[in-house]
Amino acid sequence: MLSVFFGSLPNEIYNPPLYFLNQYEDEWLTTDLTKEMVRSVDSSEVLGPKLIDSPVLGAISPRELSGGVKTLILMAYDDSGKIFNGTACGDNCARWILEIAKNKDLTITLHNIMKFDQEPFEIRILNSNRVVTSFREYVGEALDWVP
Amino acid sequence: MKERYCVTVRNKRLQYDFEITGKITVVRGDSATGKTTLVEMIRLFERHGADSGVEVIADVPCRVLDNDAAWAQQLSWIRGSLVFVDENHEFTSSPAFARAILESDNDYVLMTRANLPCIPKNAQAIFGIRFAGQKDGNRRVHHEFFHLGECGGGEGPERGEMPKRK
Repeated sequence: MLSVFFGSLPNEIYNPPLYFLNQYEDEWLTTDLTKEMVRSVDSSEVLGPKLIDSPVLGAISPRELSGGVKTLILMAYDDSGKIFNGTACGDNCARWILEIAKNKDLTITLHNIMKFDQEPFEIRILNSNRVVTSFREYVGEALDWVP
Repeated sequence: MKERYCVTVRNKRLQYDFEITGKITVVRGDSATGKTTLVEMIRLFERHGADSGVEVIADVPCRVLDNDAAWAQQLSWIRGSLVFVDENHEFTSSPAFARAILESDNDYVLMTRANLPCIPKNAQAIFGIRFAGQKDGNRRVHHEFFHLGECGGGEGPERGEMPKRK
C-alpha cells in the first residue's frame, strides 16, 4: 500500500536522482517493471543494464534517465529504508508509483499535489492517518498539508 | 534586467527556445520533458564555453546555481544574469532563498514542482516544456516553453509528437 507524507521527514532523500547515481545496481535496470517504466515515462528502450536507447538523446547510460524514472526505480528496488521525495516525479509517474505500491508497502514524501487520478486506489495520508480512495478525497487531504 | 528577452540553447541534437518575461520563471510538468537536460547544457556552456559544443544565445549571461551546501555564497557572486536552478534542490523552498532572489538583480528559471510559498504568486510565471518539432531539415529536436496557468496545474496541449525510437 502507498503511504504519503506531505512535507519533509528525517529519513527523506530529497534529491532521489542524485542518490540514484551513487546507489543504483545493474540488476534493477533489466527487470520487466523497469523496462515498462522507462518505455512509458522516457519513451526509451532498455537494451541492457548499461545501455538505453533514447529517441532524443541516442544511446544513453542509466545515469541519463529522467529524474522521474530514476526515482521510480529507487522506490521499487532500493531497500535501504530511505524515503524518497515523490515530487521528483512528474504526474506521468503517478500510475507507476501506485503500481509499485501494489507489491510492497511504499512510503514517499510529497511537496506538491501529485495527480493520482488512476482510481481505484488506496493511499494512506500519514499527516492525518486517513486512507483516501478517490482523487477528490486525496486532493481534499492534500490541500490541508501542502503549503 | 530587460523586461523581455529570448534565449536559445542548442547542441547538435537539441534546441530550446524560450522567452523570459519576468524575474521568476517556474518550470514544472511531466518527467522526461527535458528540464534537467536544459540545465546540464547551460552548465556545460558556463564551465567550458565553445569547447562544450553547446551554444547559448541570450542578452545576459546564463548561470547555474547548484550548490546545496553553499548556495547563498555561490549566488553572491552572480550579478545581472539569468540563473537556472534544476529540480530537487531543497533550498529553493526556503524563505532565505526567496529573500535572496527577490533582492538580487538576476532573473531566475526554477525547475521545480514543489510549491514556493515564500515567493509571491504574482511574481511567478509558470511554464512547462514541450516538444516543438524538428526544423531546418536537420535532426535537431526543438523544445519550447508553454504557459501552464496561474497554479501550474494541468498540462498544455501537445505541440507535436516526440520522435520515435529508431
